[in-house]
Amino acid sequence: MEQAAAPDATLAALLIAATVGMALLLPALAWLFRLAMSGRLAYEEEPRP
Amino acid sequence: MLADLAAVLALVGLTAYVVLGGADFGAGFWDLTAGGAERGAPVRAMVKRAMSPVWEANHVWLIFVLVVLWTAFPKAFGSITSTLAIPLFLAALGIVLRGGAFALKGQAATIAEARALGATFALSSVLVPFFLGTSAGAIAAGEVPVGNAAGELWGSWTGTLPVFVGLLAVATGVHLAAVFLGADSRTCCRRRSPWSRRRPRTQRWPPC
Repeated sequence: MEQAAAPDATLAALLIAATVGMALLLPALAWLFRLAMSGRLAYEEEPRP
Repeated sequence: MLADLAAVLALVGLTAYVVLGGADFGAGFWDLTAGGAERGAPVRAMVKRAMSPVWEANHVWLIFVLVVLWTAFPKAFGSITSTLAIPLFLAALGIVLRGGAFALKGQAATIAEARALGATFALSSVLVPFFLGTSAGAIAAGEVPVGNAAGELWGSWTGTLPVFVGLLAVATGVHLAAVFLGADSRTCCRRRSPWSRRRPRTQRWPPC
């Protein structure tokens, strides 16, 4: 794995970027799934009056 | 150490894609096998209702895995994508067609158009996990040597193990989707019909 990997500077930058990105993405995804599972994002077949 | 962490990151993203995206693809299988227009309508409506809020978010993980792989392991990424160019291209084409068909299905002007879009969506939902599975199987079978297109273009992913892994990927997605759609239909019924518990047990598809 060490032979196939990019240089340490690249890996460090990737891990930092991924950590920051996850900090933004995971709460947003958790909220999306929470809304979807509770049905508050349900797709309506009939148009609302 | 850093390479190990990057590999773990790729693995976490891959797991999330298999679970979440796999359920999405599996829902397309249930759409394909739901039956005719009238008989299959409740299942297709359930698939659409369940997928609409989350299907784009689920496929974010594929992009994440690709970016982590080509950044952290460029040699491996180049070897994999060059040798397995055909199944990966077919999977990418399927993802594009699937997304477009799903988004446009509700806007069809004629029944023939709606059927064509529905068939495109359902068929590509089965083929995409198959081709992604054959790619994984080819890597597991050792058919992807290091180097630019060093492996066989066709033979690397059409062996017994790659095809088996492809079929397993489809089956896994179908199972995940069945579990998710089953849970979603119960949630829908509890939410929309307070009196649903008093319905006769012979009623299999409550009109959620």
